[in-house]
Amino acid sequence: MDSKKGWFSPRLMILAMGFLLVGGMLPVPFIYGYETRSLQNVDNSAQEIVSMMKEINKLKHRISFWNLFNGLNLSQDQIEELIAINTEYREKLRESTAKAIKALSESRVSLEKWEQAIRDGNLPEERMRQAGRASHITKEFYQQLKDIKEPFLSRLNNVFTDAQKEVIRGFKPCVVPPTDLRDPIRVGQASSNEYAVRMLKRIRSIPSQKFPSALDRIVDIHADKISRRYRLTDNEIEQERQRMRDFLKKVYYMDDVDFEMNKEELADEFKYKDKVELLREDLRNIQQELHRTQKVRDPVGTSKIVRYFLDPEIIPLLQYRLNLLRSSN
Amino acid sequence: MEKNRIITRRDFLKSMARYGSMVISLPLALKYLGLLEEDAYAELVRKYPIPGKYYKRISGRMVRCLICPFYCLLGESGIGQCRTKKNYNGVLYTHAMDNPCIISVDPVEKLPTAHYLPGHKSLTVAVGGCNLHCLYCQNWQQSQERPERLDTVRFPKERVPGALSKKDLKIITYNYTEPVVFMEYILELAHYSRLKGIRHAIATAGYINKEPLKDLIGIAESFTITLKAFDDTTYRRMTAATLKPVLDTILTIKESGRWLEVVNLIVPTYNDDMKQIREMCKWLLKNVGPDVPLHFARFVPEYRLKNLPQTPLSTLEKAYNIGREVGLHYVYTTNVSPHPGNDTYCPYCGTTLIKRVGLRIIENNLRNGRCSKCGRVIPGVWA
Ligand code: SF4
Repeated sequence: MDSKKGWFSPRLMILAMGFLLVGGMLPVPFIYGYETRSLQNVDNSAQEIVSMMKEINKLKHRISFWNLFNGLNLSQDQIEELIAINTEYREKLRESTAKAIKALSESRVSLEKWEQAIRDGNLPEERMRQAGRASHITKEFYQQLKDIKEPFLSRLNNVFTDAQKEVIRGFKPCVVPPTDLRDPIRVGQASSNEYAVRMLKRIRSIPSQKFPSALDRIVDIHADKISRRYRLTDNEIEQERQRMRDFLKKVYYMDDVDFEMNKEELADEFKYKDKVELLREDLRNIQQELHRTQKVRDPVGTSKIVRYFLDPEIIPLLQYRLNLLRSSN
Repeated sequence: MEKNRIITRRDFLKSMARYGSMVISLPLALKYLGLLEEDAYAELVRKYPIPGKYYKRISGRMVRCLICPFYCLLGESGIGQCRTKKNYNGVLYTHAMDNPCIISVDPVEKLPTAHYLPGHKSLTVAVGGCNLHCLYCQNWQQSQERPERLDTVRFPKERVPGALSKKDLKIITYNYTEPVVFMEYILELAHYSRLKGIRHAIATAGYINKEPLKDLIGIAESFTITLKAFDDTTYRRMTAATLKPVLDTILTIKESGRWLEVVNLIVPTYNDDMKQIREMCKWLLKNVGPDVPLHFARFVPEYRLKNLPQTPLSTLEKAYNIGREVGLHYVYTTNVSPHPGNDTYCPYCGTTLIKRVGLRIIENNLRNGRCSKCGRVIPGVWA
């Protein structure tokens, strides 16, 4: 029993999802549409919300695209090439969907009939064969779509420089771009005095006679905050209290120079990491490992480049930026 | 008689309280009476006379600082433009000693530099104060303040080797504020650590006189000079300094054989005139040769120029192309990444030698300082 329970752990689930996402095996609609799908069955009155959510998710995807786009500094030539690739891709898609539409609508009819038959508890031979064929047709169609993409992949890959690919690989969908995209650290600029470092500096400036009581207060506040934010057992809270107490003592008694030289690492240690965060860290490490192996297995590094840059819907967006670029020159 | 000589605990505490409070309140009383100026109490704690060759006594207690072309003339208690030097009784002191406001571990690429030990980490040290007053300073909280008024760390020379070895570092870089105004401290650190194989690299605006510059050249391996503009009026407008001394600094460093890189931060409407940029590139080509790397850096609104937009990419690219057209071998775009201008190319066969994303190196194709394809020597300090 125990082993069965452990087999389907959330950790495994997240890792598996991570693998699929990294490998680019989940189609975009799955990633951006899962919330709406679960709402669809609720009730008719929810239809409006469903469509609104769809819109919002689409918008989020577009914003993500812009954040990535802005962080890439694409040249005019690169944008033009992307437009050309996507226009060609759109044409190919049109051709093949026009051909496939008849076969797909027949498949749908077959599957609908098969559903009716199963619902009524019948399993007629003929219908079964038709359903099998229909399912095969849809699979074939997916394969066809993949085949259409194939010739564009290397072309698409050639558009980007290695440095741009590195940024695309590390990009995570976001509404507000992370600091390294929004305001990357500049040459000659002292590192940003981030919040955690400032907090630690304040703690270090507490007079020594007041430190023990201040330490208790800080640890209490911290424990209270994390217990409200995360679902933790008493034991976990106690462990975290101890960790924080030891950490703050270390920071407080640390020599000035040592503190300055290690402040970035200390700031990182200061932050509480719950299980999910730790899992994410694991996942990030696995992803990095995967990227390294992927470079060999998948030399065109398709997953994210395709997700963001092989999509006829981006043609008007690219066109818009190209116009802006042309007018600024 | 015997009895009278015994000091009771009460007497002892009383006298301690009396004399102790007198000692403590003396500076406060002096300050109240105006005999001690506001921050002199702090200054009594730490001030260091600067070497006599860096200043001249004019008359009475007047002194003239000889470190930079401002040649500040300071009366008694006068403070230099850079906020680090002060005249006490006709002797010039520095307050920028052992008290950095920034100590951090950074990639050397932050100087910026592209041909000096790429991919290495360094200990960066900066003390408050600056002799320039750039309108766009991105570290103005530190550079436009007196060092003793900042939140500082006590970091005397004796501590340097230990601090470096803890992080397995071999390089100290001086960046963020202006190393010229804390050069006495740099020299101290360098002389102390000379035998320990510690290397020094300096990022400066280069507004310094020849004699003190020679002392810095004596200890530093690499210099990154920010050439803020290429005409004097703009230079004054943007920084309060002048162009000529900076050009002289560039020439002196080049002549010395130390590694040199030049940065030009392009600020829209101030120094983004392409004619001026072309002139600058031509001057560099003629006077320091094609192998001195030139970085065109993107301006991001800061300090007193928050009203301006950041430098458009197209402007940076135009400047980059001009640099290449003129004949400079190593031109870079900085503060904009990813960008093809971040990478190092072989000027002979065009191979990409070093690929970068921001301050990170993602591929290095140099082999012992040579192009991996055509084998030509690429100038720089590579090991
Ligand atoms: S170093 Fe400072 S005090 Fe000396 S001349 Fe320059 S600005 Fe004046």
